[in-house]
Amino acid sequence: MNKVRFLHTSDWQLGMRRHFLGDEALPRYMQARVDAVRALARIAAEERCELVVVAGDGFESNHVDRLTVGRALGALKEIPCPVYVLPGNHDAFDAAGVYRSPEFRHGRAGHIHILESNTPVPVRPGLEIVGVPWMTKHPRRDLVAEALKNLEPFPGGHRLCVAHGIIEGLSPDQTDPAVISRRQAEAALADGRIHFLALGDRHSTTEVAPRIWYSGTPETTDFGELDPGNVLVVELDGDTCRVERRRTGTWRFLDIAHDVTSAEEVQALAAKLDALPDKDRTIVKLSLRGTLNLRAKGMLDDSLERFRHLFAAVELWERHTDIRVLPDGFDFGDLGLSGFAKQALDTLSVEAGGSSPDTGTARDALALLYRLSGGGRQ
Amino acid sequence: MRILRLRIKDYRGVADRTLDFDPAGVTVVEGPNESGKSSLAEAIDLLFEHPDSSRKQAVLQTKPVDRDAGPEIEAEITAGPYHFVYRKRFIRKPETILEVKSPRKEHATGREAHDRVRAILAETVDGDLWKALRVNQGDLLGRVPVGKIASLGNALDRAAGKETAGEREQTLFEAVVAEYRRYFTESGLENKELRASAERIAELEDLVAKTSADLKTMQQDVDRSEAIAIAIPELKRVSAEAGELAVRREAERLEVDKREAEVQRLELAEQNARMAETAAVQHAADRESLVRKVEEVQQQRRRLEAEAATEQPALVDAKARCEAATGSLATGEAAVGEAEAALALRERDFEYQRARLDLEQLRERRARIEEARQRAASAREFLDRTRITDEIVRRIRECHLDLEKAQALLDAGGPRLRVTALSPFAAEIDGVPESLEEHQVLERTVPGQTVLRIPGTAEIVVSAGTSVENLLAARDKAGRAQEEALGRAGVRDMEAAERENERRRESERVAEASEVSVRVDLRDLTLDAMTEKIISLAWAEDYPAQRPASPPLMPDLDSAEVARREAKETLGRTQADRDCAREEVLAAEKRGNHLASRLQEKTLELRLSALSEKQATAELAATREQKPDDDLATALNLARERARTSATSLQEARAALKSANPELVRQLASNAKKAEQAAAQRLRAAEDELRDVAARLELQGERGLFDALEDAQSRLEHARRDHRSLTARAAAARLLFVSFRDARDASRRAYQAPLRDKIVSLGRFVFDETFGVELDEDLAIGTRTLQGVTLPFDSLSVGAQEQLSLIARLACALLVSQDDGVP
Repeated sequence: MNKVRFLHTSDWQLGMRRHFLGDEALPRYMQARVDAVRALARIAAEERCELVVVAGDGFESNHVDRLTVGRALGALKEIPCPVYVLPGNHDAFDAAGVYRSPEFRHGRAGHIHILESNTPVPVRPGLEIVGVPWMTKHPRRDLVAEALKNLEPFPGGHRLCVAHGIIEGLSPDQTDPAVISRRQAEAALADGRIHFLALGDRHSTTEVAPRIWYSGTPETTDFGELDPGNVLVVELDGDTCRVERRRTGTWRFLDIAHDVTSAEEVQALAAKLDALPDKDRTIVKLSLRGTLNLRAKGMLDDSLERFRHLFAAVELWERHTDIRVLPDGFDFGDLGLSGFAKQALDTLSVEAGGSSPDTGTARDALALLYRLSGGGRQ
Repeated sequence: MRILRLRIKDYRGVADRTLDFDPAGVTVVEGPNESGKSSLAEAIDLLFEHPDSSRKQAVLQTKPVDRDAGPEIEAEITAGPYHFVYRKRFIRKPETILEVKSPRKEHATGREAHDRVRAILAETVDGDLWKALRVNQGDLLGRVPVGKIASLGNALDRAAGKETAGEREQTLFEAVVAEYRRYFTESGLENKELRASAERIAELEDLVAKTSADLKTMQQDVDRSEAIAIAIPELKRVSAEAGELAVRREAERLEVDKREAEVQRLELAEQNARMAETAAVQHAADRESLVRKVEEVQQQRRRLEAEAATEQPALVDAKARCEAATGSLATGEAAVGEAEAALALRERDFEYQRARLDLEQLRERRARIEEARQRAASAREFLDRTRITDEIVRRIRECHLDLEKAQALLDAGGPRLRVTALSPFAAEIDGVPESLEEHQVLERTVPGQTVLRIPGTAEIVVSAGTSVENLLAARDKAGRAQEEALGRAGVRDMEAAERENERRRESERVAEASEVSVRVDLRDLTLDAMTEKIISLAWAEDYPAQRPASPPLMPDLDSAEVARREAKETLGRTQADRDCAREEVLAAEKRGNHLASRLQEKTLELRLSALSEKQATAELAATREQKPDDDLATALNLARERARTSATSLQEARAALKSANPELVRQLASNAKKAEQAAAQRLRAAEDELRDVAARLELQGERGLFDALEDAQSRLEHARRDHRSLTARAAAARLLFVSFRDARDASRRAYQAPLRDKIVSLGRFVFDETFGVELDEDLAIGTRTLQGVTLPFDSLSVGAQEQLSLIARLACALLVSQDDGVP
């Protein structure tokens, strides 16, 4: 049996946006996805890969604009070997498919191939690819099982199956008719109908079973992804299969939960954030809980404002954030307010301690008073 | 701050004056006009405000006008812990000196002293209160803005038993208001920024909704595209089946068409056979008709020949009559000619007689005219020549009379020579020889001097005296006048003049009478016309010789007239005869023409009839030669037989067609065709729709809807977040503002009472026990009550307003003075 070395990637999600990113960070983030394709092109060259398979969702949508398609084609051109691109659920090969668009068709370099059907595509003698493209967004059946069913074994060569979708055991919805049957996939591997199942859709790099892999997205797309930002370099040599992860991602999505009940804890949170590297490519989602006086809340707000300038984005996860602000003696004692100002302060303090819907406004009003009266500047 | 002493020197009109103030209570400065009261108040301001180097107008105008000296101001003051003496001189040798006595001694000069005093005042004096309570002469006393004066506020707080709200609180409140105004207008409405934020969200929501809808439509197109792609093979199959059925049904329909065509062909053949039969019948009838026609034309020709033969004699008779009438007419015409000639001669004769008479008369008239003209000419010749007139004759007569009168006078009065011959002797008197007989007396008037010479004897000269000379001169003058008149008339003496004048009158009469005679003879003619007329009538002289001898010329005009009338009557008669003859000729001619015309018509008819007969005969012969009568009968029979056979065949074919049920076959074929077309139409529609959808998708694909939606959603999310933050900040600002405002207002309401009490207690000194005031929100006097009558401050007289304003200032000062000194 001959040997083949190829690069397995998927879920580039080109054109993806994140609404929490501001005007400065968003273009950088979008460019990072294109840069990831360039990075994997370099890896393919370094590793002398014979081909690159893209297991679906190269584009975030079929309806991305021309600029995104143009940039994708530019990056694809830099890949030094043939590239086999599979349409996934985000970029299904339907009537409006991005791969059918004039921009893509006319701008596509000669070594870029679209896996438009599950008819085996010969790459060279002893090597062929069976693509399982998504022709619609809702297939309602196991496309992989359907493609494998009619295949004959491919003795003496390597047949790579490139597919997209969630495989049995990883899907949260076991009743989904489109879930890929792991059993049938393993059977096809066992009887030599295929020799590697390159999967896309899951953004975390995952080995499902020997020779069944999710490459994951080459650049992180969301919070909660376990091991994103990789591509896989796969080598099949006889009966052996070696799979190696190579890092391509440069962005991080971090969930940080922290209790803040005092100025010290606010300072501790600030120190923790300060310690994080690559802030300009890091998106932080904070879950904060606690009760703070006005001074500490002021400190927290100031800190967050400062970090918002340093990080790509700092978000408060509102569902998991609960900070109560209660003014105490320290807040206004130093200010020495008297007369009607003191009376207004007392009224607002009573309101802020209550449980009416206006409590939040009263707290904000106190914070404002604190700021206007020069609090927190000492 | 208290001013203990104030000195001004060389200040405006004041040379040097010092004023000591009471350290407690109120000092009233009293003095006559121009004594410098206002200057004192002004000097305090100058001292505090302006450095000694100032060249401002306020400073310059304090220089005394009668001295070259710089104005000086010196004050001794306590303020807070400070006690100091402060002196300034402006304009001339400017100088500033500060001596601080306590709390510790300080000495400063110039700018340093100025700055130090300002620092002390800033530290110890409420500037706002100072300004509010200072009233310069001539300024209108306004209401005191109590609410803005911090020290007053503090005093009122204390008076109301409340905690002091100081400058810090005021500043804070201003900051709160400023913050509130970042989001709300003065009237409490949301400002532009808040509204714009909400509007931006609405716009972005619209954009997201629209882009989502576009994307949804696009997805529907994608789904539709899939559905069509699946449906097309089935549509193709249905279309193919419908096509096959249509082909079969079409074949059946074609068979029916064929049978129908056969029926149509047989119908045509049957129609043709019937037409051939009809034609054969017609041919037989035509032959018979032709034979009848030949017979008819022959009969007609014979009838015409007979008629022509009967009409010929009448025509000959008519011609003979016509000729006879023509002869009579010629005779008549000749007689008329003769009568006309006779009449012409008689007419000529009559003309001649008349011309002859005219000629004679004209000649006589002309002779008379010429004679008269001659007379007139000779008379005029005399008249032209003579110079005599009645006037001249009268003049001559007068002159003659004058001469005779002068002569008579001379003769009577002048010397007279009376020679009586005693013997005859000869003598010469004035050279004229005279012979006198014995006793002959010769008397002579001596006009002037008369010389009587008796030759050989004596020469006697008789001279008239002076009186005789005058008479003599008068006579000579009269004599000259007469001579002159006669000379002018060209006559010798008076008698000749009388004769000449008589001849002149006669000539005038002759000339006039001749002209009358000429006019009478000319009548309406001129002489030339008369001459021409005579010439034109001259022919009459030759006429008798030239006219024919017979009949003889009538001797005179009357007989010529009779002869002419007779000739005219003769001509009338002959003309009537001739006209009768002409009538006869015309009648005869008309009858002859009528008969000739009728005969001509008959002849023509006869010729035409002969031609018709010839043609009909030829036609009959030709048709018979072409098809003899027997052949015609055979053809007729044959045609009748064929018509019968064709009708039978047609009947049979029609029955066969009916049995094939063509309507049903056609309906089936049509249905199959429609079904085929419908299937093809559905297929085409599906394919067209697929193409349309693909085109739409391609077009929409170019729009990058995903990016557009993501971008819009992203912007919407940011906008919402910004808006939440903005509205939260705005709500906090509003709540804070409302809380502050309410607290301040409540506080103000609380310390209105002490101020009002102070004003009332002072006011009752000035007015009476019924005096009362109410303060408004800003602690200014709102109303005044006096003698039970309450009036708004603005409705009071200017004097009353000033009184109240001063009282309010004093009340403020009294409130503050408890700790902070007299303002």
